[in-house]
Amino acid sequence: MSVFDWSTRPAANAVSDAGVPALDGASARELPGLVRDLMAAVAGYIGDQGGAIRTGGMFNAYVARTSSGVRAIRPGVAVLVQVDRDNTDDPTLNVDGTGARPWLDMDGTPPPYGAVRAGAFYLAIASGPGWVSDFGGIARSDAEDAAITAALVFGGI
Amino acid sequence: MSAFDWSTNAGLNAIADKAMPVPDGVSARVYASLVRGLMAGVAQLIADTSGALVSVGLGDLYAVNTFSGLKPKPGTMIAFWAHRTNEAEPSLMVDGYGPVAFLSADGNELAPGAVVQGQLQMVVWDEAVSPEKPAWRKINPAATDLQVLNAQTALEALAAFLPKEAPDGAGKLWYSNGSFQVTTGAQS
Repeated sequence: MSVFDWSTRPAANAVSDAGVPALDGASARELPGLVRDLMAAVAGYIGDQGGAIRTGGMFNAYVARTSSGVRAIRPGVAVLVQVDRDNTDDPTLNVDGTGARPWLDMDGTPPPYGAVRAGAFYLAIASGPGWVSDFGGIARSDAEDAAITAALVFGGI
Repeated sequence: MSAFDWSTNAGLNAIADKAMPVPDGVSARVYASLVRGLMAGVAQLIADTSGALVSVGLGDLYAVNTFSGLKPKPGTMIAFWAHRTNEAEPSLMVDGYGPVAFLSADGNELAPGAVVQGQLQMVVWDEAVSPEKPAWRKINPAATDLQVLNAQTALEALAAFLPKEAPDGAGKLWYSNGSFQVTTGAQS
């Protein structure tokens, strides 16, 4: 069961999650079980976006396994992962076997060497063909712009 | 009791939350109440993670009381608005647990001024790296966390950009042997 499969349309949720079959006419006996299933699905989601996932994989290919189960990458899917190692090159992220996809900074560039830090938590947001997180790239480029401006203004060059 | 107490094991949810026990055979009269309990649990979760909390506390202690009421454990993330800017290493107490260290995204102490009044702080409970000394960590390197790094980046960029030989004229900035220099106009 996975909240990532749930629909924002109530009616579609009759069959959207095989783990929570909420069909009209369901037996009253099944209702407590359905409520427990809902609680379990939400608990999984809390962990997946609460930092319970620690990455694995090798080198710059990061692998994350959610409690909920992400079956498809689409807008609105996000997971909070704690990274187990620094990157040494352009990283990829593979969530629940959906494929090793590019893991980019907010400005669309790959994070440079060491920008993905062991132990840090990153909110990875599905975007286009890959995942996007804030690795500080925008702040870094702002700082570089400021330095160049300072050199031009104060350096007289 | 709250959504943070619910289990990913559906069977355990019969008694996971004392506020809404859901054993098999529960009276049909309480079904509507159970559904309301679910809605309240999710609404509390949304409030606790989406910016409805504001910290309180004196000095560099930040205290936060959640709507859910939780005991921190791996997989717990909350977001709160900082009520003041820190002047030294901050600590964080959530629902009476702690205070424990309130760290930057990379696990280091937050510098003075890194927690900015009026900015949203997204923090996650971390006990994987140091189980004996769990702490709250910020998520992602927020702009304020990067102040020190930014200063270093700016200086490095400036050093790379500046001439390495003294330019002609007075008041010109140049970079020599690890330090910034300003020309005086006197020719050596």
